[in-house]
Amino acid sequence: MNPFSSGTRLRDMIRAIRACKTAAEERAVVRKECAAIRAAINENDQDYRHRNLAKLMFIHMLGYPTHFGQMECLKLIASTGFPEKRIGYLGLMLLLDERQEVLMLVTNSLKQDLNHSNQYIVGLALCALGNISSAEMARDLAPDVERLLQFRDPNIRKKAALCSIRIIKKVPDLAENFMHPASSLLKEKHHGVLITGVQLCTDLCKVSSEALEYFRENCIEGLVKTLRDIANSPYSPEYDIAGITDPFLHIRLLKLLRMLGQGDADASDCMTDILAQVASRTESNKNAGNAILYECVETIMSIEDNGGLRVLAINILGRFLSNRDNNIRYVGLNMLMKAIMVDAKAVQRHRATILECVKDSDVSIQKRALELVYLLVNESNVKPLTKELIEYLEVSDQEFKGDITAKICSLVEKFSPAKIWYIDQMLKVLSKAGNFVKDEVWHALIIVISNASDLHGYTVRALYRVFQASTEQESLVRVAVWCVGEYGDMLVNNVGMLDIEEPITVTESDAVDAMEVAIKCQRLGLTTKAMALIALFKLSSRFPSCSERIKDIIVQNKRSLVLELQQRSIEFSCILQKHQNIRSALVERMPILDEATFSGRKAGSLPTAVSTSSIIPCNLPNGIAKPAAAPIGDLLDLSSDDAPPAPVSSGGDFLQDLLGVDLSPASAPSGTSQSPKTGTDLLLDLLSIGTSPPVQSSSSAIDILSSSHDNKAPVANLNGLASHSSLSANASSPASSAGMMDLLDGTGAITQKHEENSPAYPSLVAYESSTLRITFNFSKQPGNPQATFIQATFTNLSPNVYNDFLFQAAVPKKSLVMRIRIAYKTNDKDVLEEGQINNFPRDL
Amino acid sequence: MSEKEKQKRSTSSYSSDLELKLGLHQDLKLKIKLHFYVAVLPLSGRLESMSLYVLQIHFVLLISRQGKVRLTKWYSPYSQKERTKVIRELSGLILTRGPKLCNFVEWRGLRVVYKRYASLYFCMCIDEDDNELEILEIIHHYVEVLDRYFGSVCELDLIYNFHKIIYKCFNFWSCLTLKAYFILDELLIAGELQEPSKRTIARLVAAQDSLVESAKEQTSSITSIIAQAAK
Repeated sequence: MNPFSSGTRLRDMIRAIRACKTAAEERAVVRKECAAIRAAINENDQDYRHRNLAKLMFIHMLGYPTHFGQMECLKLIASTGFPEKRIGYLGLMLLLDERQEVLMLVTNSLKQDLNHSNQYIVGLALCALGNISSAEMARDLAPDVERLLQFRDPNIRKKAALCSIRIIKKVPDLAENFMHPASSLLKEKHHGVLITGVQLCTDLCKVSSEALEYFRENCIEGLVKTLRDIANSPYSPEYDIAGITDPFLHIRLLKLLRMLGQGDADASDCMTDILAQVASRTESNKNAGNAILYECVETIMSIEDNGGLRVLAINILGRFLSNRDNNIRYVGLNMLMKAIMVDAKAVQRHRATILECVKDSDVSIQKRALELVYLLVNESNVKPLTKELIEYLEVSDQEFKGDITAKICSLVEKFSPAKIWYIDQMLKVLSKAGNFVKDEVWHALIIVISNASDLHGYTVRALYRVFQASTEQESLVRVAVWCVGEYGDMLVNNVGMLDIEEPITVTESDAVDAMEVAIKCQRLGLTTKAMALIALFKLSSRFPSCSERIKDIIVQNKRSLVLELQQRSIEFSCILQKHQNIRSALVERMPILDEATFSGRKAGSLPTAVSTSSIIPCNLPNGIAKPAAAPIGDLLDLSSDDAPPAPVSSGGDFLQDLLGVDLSPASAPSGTSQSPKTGTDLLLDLLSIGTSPPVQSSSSAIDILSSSHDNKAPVANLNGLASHSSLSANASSPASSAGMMDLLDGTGAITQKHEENSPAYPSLVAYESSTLRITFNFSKQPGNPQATFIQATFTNLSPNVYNDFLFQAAVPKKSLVMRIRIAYKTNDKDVLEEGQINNFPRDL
Repeated sequence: MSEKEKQKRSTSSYSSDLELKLGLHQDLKLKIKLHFYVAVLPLSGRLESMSLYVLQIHFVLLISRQGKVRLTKWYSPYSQKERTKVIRELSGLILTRGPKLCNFVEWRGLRVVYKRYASLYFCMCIDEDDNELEILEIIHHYVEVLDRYFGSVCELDLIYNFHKIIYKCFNFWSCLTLKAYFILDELLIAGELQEPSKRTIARLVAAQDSLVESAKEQTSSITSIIAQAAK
């Protein structure tokens, strides 16, 4: 051997790697070793190829790239000695997989080795072919493998059989070539050959119906006999596991019988006796026996109907469920899940045991059991099962709660016998695990509540009680807040009292207190607070005695640092102070929410939500004919997307739109970058705090206004405004629009003044790209003609949300030109746009 | 980002990785890329290319209690990147489980059956509707063959002896670990059980070992003859 060859011994390399304290150190050692191995490969070093490959296998296992060693495997395989071939094939199976092109190069060596005189070399080649062959290789080498099925040594025959499985899976057309040799393997006595032969037949049945027919006709009796022999065989030390002779063979025979018996009554008949024997006589105190029972039950359940056997099988599963071994219980649950399709009644009998399993300490078992319970529920047992599950909800693990609540909610929804029961159960779920439910769940609950008009009083009182007890579960608080806002009067007056209810005394100020708690509670999120604010606003007309207090609370929130709350409270306080005449129309109770629309919405996933934002405006140009249902989604969709508030047609609907707390991120840029807007824009904004196209939402606003006011003039005016939202329209009749404007004077006061006084300059599209438009409006302060106010309106023309919006402007001293640069983030990408504005009005 | 998009991302990122590493010819690159797309795990974790047929065992993993990999054998095609990911995910799932829980873990629509012997976890991944109990038997079968081959003395002391074997065989990854691979190849092919008799397996491996030994002796004798002749 070459004494000058570089490189350490395998053992030393491993020692060096294990001694590394940091990942960086380890990488360095591996890099050095890889470099040495590469060098050895380049020198075509013969003596250490063996060792180098062993090193590479270790390096591969650590997760480092070793593709450069692939060719070394091929070289080792092509060499003549057994030791080289052995390690070469091992490396081939470890370092490569069937998808690598390099593999094609090994086909020739494999072919030679399959015909080698040394049977161990043939064995190596078969093993490699079986583990990593690609479809091309399978096609090329199938004849050799087929021939080896008749090889004299049984150990080669069994390898060839497994290799054939791989071949027919890769190339199903070859199945018929293997049919006859496979059936002759079934007559073997050698267990290894028999096991692999049975397995091969099973897989042939899967890929070829012809093979299935063939085995059905010719092999069933033989197989039944083999199974009987093995089941009755005396103790044989070589194959014995836990007192059973070769459970592996048992299992494979049962699998093949299952394939043959499925859908064929005659074949099923042939095997009933032996199945009954296996099912009743197999020892079930050891794992091996249970593995056989498992397979036997599967077979009984799959073959053609035989009542007696099925009872036997379900009973075995019942025993599985009560077994102390977790593994057996897990398997039992799994099998019952399949059995439920066959015989639901029999499975129902084990309901109590299954429910116990939901409470198991093992997550795997919990999950299985929950799935099974879910399948077991029907109209007749939904009440007790739900009760059990809800009770369990309290003690279950945190991470499991999400799963359980989802399941309970969908059960309750699916099978609820009465609305009151549904509402009760949902309240229980929400009060126990409200933080784990998805938004759809409480949205759905609100819709159900809204539809159950005779239960409004009951529900609001129940919710109030739970709310008083705890505000831990946010989604419960949301539902409670919504209901108090809508049905607060019923809470106080005990309207629609049911017999089962305990009377409760709630004063008006109690209800307001509750809402105040929700707004002030630190733990609750923005959505909840916004909802509480709306609820308060609604209560202001329901409870005249508290309206001063409500006004105070709302005014307090004018200083909120959260933009959404601030804006909302400013708007509400304006309405409270100056627009008493429209207030009562605004805070009317919501019309009954339409379930169908909501469920449609729920079904439509995100893409549809996005597309609606562009489609609706076209379909409903003026928002006239749309039924009142759509906005519901908006109200409920507090945070989900930027779908525009749908057009509306009555005063009550306006309310929904007004209150549509669209907290989508899209509203953030519109709030920050568009703050210095004209009064009209703000009005539009008030009407739809989303990023909806202005035309559409303003037209809906007009509808509303015309129904609540009987004043046509401002409406017409607004109509003009809406189509251009420009200053010129505004200027033509400033007086009439002013009436509308002061609705917004909380923020819009200053800008409004300018507009009224100096309407001299037309607005100007300063910049427009495919994604962004900037419009400038000019105004001058009276008595200061030198200064011009420019109001820039930024419009996002894309459907995406912009973040970190930055607007920079530079003005040279000489001419009236402005250079601008806009940077923002959309879809996680930074976008930079630049432009120059030359077309300022001359006389500015 | 939806799950699908994530999937897409990971695909494109590692197909390009591969190109970089192999520096392949353009056509070949394209082909390999296609292969990679086929192999990307869908949500369920079962390979798309596998949907045509069902393997019994998708892969075998031996992981130490500290999360070190001792042996891996892949019967379904997983790329190197996927393999690393699978190992990471599974050691996170399995090593954290308590001792009295069941030996099955649900993972990406597949099921992993594991069993701990001394400080080593033997894991095998199978399809959802396969017989988990049988896989437990196969794992035990493998362990017993290892035990027999590495020369432990008495059956009663299996765990204790196995501790030593694991130390010899796996803690120090070496030629002995290669032996563990050879034994596995006599036990499973294409993810299917090959031989139910422990004795036969041990005999076959031993026979091949002696072939290697005699070949070595031959080489060394030839070397010595050459050395003597050179003198």
